Amino acid sequence: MKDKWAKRVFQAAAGTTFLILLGLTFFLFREGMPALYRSPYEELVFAVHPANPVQQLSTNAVRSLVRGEKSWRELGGPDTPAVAVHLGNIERYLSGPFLPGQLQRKLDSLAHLSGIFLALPASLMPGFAKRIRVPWRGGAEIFGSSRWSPTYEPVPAVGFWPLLVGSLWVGAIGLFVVVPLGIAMAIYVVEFLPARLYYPVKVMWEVLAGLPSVVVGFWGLVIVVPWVQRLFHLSAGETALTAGLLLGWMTLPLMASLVEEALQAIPQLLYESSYGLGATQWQTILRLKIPYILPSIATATLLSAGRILGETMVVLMVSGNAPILPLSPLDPVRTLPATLAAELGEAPVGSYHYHVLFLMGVFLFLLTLALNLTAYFIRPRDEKA
Amino acid sequence: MRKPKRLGEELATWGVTFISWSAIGILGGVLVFLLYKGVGVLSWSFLTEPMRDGMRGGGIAPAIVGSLWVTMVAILIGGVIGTAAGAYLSEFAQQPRLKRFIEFLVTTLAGIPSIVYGLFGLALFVTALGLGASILAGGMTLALLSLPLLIRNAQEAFSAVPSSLKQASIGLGASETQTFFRITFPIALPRILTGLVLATGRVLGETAPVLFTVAAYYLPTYPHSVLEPTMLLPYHLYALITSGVNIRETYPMAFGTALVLLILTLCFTLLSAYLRYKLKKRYRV
Amino acid sequence: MYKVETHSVSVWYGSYKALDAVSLALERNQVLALIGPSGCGKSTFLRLLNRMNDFIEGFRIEGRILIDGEDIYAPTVDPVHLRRRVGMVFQKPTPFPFSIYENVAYGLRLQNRLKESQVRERVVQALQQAALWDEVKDNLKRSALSLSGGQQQRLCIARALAVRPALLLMDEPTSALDPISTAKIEELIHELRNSYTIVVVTHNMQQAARISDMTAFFYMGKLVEYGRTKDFFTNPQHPETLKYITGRFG
Repeated sequence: MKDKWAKRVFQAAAGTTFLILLGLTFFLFREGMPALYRSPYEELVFAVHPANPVQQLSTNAVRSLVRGEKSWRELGGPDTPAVAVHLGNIERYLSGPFLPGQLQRKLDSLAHLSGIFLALPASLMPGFAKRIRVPWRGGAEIFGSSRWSPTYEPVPAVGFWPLLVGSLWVGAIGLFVVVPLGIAMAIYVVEFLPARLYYPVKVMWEVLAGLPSVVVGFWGLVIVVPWVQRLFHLSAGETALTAGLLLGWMTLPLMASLVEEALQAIPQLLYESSYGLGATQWQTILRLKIPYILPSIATATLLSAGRILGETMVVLMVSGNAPILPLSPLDPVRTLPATLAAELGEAPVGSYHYHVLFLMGVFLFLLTLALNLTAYFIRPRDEKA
Repeated sequence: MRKPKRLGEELATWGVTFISWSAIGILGGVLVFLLYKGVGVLSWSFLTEPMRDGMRGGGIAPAIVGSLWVTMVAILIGGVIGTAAGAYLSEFAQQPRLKRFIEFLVTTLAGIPSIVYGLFGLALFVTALGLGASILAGGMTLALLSLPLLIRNAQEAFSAVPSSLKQASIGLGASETQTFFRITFPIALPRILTGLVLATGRVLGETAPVLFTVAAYYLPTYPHSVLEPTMLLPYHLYALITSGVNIRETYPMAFGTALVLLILTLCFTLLSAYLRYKLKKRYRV
Repeated sequence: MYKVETHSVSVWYGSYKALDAVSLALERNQVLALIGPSGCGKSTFLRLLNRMNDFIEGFRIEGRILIDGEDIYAPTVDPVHLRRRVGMVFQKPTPFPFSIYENVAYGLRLQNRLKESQVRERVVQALQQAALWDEVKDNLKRSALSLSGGQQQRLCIARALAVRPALLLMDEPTSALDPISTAKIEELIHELRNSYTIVVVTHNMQQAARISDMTAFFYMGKLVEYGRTKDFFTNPQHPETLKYITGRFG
């Protein structure tokens, strides 16, 4: 009886893993999905002069109108200069301190300009103006736009592309460092390291793996960033390259110990056969051992990629944090996790910005999940999970 | 049959040797650099006094205390659940398919980025459960994060207990749970504690998951309960570097904080390595 | 000149003496069987002949071993070159996870001197010598791991033969195989005697009697008895040999 109870408790503890994964998926999706069907400007209405024939504007059209990049004529409107008024620039049209009544009168008079474009809360919108529609297509905005500017007024830009590309740059550079160097370190430890140094070296690997990422970021900021800046004659050393180098270095213990494990698991008779045929040590390593553990190397690479893509603090501190499409490794970038870390604290709970950040969390979650699942299913069968 | 010089091979050997020691050398460089820059800042008052003058002066005591609180909560919760789950996987799981599935889940959880755990903690503990940004919310988030490591460690610890001992106990008429509590658990305990020490080091240095669940930017007081937010060492360091009022003036503080954080995590990492070394010697595994 | 000569060879692993003053000589194109209980030093002796023991920590050797009259432990000798001249087959099949063709070509490619057409020629020849050609000729690109255990072992023999060794070592080559595969390997050893000198470790005395010309009995690190296989089994000189033989034959 007691036995049964105790076993239940143990089973429940193991079951929490399932609950955690379920809960994580549920809450991430619950907070993230609204970004796909809600609009960031639900409380705003858009309006133009009644004589303006335009009925509907795309979000892009609104953005370029507000920035003054496009005129009404290009958008099918009258041949008059556009005047865009929204909460973000309304002060420009009001001189000095004002009272609520004055604000409304001012807005009413602005509405009589023939080139007017208004984006205001319904309560402030002059009745004279003609309402137009600005439809928001969440999916297209998030996955089709190449601009990330989630607080831009009145229509934010929430394209994941620049951040995803930033993540990919950093990830690619990181892998470029960690894969060859990690394999080299594993080979050294298995083949050449004197036995009495084995344990100290492994402890060093563990120390490196356990280094707080914020400390690595700090060191990177103080030492590596100026170094990159001088080396490449840049105006700022915070680049994708800087972040990738640091992340690759940090991930070395993971990659190296996975490869080392695989190398140690090669049956002795197998590599003795190679020596028996007159192969040298390096011939045996390169022609037999490395091909033999290729599946393990693939697994280790995927796991390292997952780790690099998910790292947050180092990237946040040394990559420059510019949410623009990076074109070279010497451009500043911002990655998905760094964006989450930098912006979620500022985004009010329940706002569109908050939801779209959670959707980014979902995206990051699925991305790393895909990498880890692939690694799990291609891992060599004789290895323990 | 003359012995030839294999230049390429020697170069390759030199190459992997150089790479290996460089990676470790850079680590040594980081440690020495932070020690050199930070040791001048360290003083008794730096460790025991709260911050002053908008982080430009005073000590970092509230961040140290807060970090220890959050870590303790995380390791307590994670340690209990992780050990029990590890015991289930190693000792009590009867259906192999269920066991494999749970092992698969552990692997999956281990691969989730820490920032995603932070989002989950924000959505579940801070918002849905209404705990607000608090030591409890942050501690639980970190407990979830460290759970895969703790489960795996406990499972290995229990599996390493020789089955002959377990069978001898069963043979004497002990039930499975009696055997577990009287034989398996006491023998596995040193290894489990070693894993907890390692996890403590890792949790202490985590920043991303606590950003939204517990960390306060500037709160130079000590927490009175687990339902309050607190300053934390890693986040304090981040704040000092990136958003100090005057970065030049806060840099010495940052070096001091980085050194304290480094020494704390290093202590735990080295302690766990030392314990494992002792265990290995004792059991000659 | 003898093919293999050893002059009072002793071996230590650390402080443990594994072989004690072993001297024997073997003529060209003969098969030598090494027998004895496990731990008697027969595998150690075999692995001396291609310097496989060099990898073991604490290994030390005294005495001289000559192959084709050349001291293989002389300081000028490169063990890698030695192993190219002394082929070895292990107690379990050890196919590399490549194709059949690449397995046999492995040793040839290590030296980078042969053209692909020559490699192919030697691979085919080796497979024919190992009596595997007819079974695999239609699909040389197949993974070596897909072969049966007996086929894998013959593949390993072909792999060793492809580099045209001066001497072929076999460490209990049939211990992991079924009786039919074992018979095929024994038959193969019989054939190979025409062109190779072979040293075989075996724990099976009937096998030693069937395949060898010479037999050496090792016991506790010493070479107790060495002679023609015919005489060895019918008229052993030492009481230990007799005990061992009769004990096994029941």
